[in-house]
Amino acid sequence: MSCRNEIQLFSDSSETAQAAFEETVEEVQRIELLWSRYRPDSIVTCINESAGRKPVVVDEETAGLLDYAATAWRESDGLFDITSGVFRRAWNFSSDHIPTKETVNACLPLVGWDKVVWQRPEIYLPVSGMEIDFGGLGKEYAADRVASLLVEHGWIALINLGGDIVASAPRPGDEPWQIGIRNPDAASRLSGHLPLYSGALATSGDYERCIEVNGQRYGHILNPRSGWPAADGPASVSVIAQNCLLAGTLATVAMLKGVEAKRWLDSMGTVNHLVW
Amino acid sequence: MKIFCLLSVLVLGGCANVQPWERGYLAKPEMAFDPNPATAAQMQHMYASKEAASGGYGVGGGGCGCN
Amino acid sequence: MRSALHALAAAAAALPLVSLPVRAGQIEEAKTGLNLFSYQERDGRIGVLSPTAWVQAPVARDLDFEARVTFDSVAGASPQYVSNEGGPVVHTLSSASIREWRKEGMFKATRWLGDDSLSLGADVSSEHDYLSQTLSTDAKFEFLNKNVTWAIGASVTGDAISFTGFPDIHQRRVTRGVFTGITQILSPTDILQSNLAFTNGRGYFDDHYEYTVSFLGRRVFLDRDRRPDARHSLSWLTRWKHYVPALGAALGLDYRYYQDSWGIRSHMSELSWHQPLSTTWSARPVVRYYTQSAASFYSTTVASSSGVSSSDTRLAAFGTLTLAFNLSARLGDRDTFEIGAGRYVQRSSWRFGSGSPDLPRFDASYAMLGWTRTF
Repeated sequence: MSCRNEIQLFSDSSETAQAAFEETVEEVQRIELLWSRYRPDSIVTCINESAGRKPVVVDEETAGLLDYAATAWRESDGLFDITSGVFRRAWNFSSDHIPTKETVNACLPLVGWDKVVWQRPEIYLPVSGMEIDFGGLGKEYAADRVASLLVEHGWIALINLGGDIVASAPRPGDEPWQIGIRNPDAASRLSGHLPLYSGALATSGDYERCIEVNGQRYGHILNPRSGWPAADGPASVSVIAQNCLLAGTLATVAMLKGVEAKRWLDSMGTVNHLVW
Repeated sequence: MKIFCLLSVLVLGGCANVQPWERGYLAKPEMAFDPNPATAAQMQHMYASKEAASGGYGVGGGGCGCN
Repeated sequence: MRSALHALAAAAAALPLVSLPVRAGQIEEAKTGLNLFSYQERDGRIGVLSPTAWVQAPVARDLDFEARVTFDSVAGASPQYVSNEGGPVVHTLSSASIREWRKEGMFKATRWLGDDSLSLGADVSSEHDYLSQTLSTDAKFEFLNKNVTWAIGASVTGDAISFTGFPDIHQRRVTRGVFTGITQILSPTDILQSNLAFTNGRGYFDDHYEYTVSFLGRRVFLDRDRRPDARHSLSWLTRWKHYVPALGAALGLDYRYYQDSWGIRSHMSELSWHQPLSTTWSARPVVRYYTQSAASFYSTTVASSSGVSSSDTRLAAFGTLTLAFNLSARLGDRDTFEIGAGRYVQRSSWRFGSGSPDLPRFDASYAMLGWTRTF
């Protein structure tokens, strides 16, 4: 599945804009090739297929992201964990029923960054069946990379990779970019706007992919320690930060903080918006 | 003078969600059925005072001696 | 707690990524505005100046509130009688110039119950000889990953009509309405809405200021406007919005079919194009075509002394065309200014099919100024 991406920029000519655009497309595709878990030749696939067998030496850029993932795991008390994709084997969010406790528990031995042996530049998943994925980092990283490229060239741009948004600078005349907010309630509810001058916005939300059983909502953001979504958590969390990677991590962790989500984000002084 | 360019493409895989914050086309102010509720009400009022047909925009909407 | 943020920021800084200053305004979910609407009919007929103030705001996590007040000042002459004294049928305006006021207030509260909502609304319109009061309710439900919204609603309107100069005479009318509609997101660039509304009105529908005068040989007949005491109607409105990414613009297309128990059938279609011109300016041209058939009892001559008959031009067969242009400017974070103008022309020959004979061309223009603030 794909999602819609969009870059708006101010340029002196449409040729230079087109050149800049092509450069960004190449960058996004390069990142996708590098980290996609769907591609047989990606480094992520290689790491996962070597689980329980042998360590894999990774490139500098992947090492950088693994370092970041390790920090995120540590700073979130284990709530942000790139090994939690294993729970996909238990949860099917296109169905209308939740998995049994046994099915979820069966995944637990395969989840946990603390089990991973990460000694730059070598990574080793010690148990066969363990896997990592950059699903919660890759798109955000790509949006930031595109922003970096455009900033290097001095462009004023707004990047939107499927909802991960970066504004490189205010529009000419110190005007903000207007970020439309569509409420989860689709077409019917009042929608609002966020004036964004510069910075990155990422959203984590579960109302599009969730299972509802007896009025209880089970979102697709799962607690890596239990394999279950947070009870009484927000329906979506949006955070603004200096880059998308950081904003996305904070939004995902907040989703798992349950009722504490808002307080946790406010305590760090972030600009945030929650839908319950 | 800087010109404004909009570039859009489908590339990245693996993301299916429509985000509430998405700077999506549907969220743009241009996509509202009625950009200004007061203007829409005034236009409907004007048409209702000159034409036999009205309604269909929602419930409510008051009557008036003009129609 | 801040240390977690610093540690993460430091880890991100090790990557080849820019770190941008965070600068954002407040999320704007509430809106308020003022509108000034001016309407003028050609040939010294009715002119209306109408200021409006409105607000739409979430007042609690699960409660939205909407309110609007309008004050109309109406001046000019209104059609009073239709006569064939000189041979052809002539619509004659009242010689007296009128000056009237109308006040209207509405509010609507919407309670959100998860993804679904329930609204209650009220609307009151008051003139010196006319009072209209409406209560309405609607419920909205979300389906299919919130790509479909289904709405149902009901309303009741009570109208109290009095006669200038006859303070003891009062007439009443009650109109009940039901409504259902579907709003569907078809694609990332398309949204479609289709609404069906029925009304059932009973009571006094006559326009007591209107007369028909007929000269037949040397005899003169005078008949006041008399209409059936019931009116049932059906409106079916379909609206489509389509975003054109290559142009950054949105196309709007509306179509409405209407029919009622008075024998009127009408078609309305409206085409709009919303084009941002720069970061500040955007333009919205609109074209609207409307046509209706005549009511079964529409007549410009006195047909008989009994039964229903009306020479009201609004019950005739005609077509209308509206051409309008709106320009809006977004200044700063939260203010939008709008200016708009339109021309509205009604002609019997523009009826799809054939229009009522003897119907004068009707020509009006309007202008509006608007200010909207989000907060």
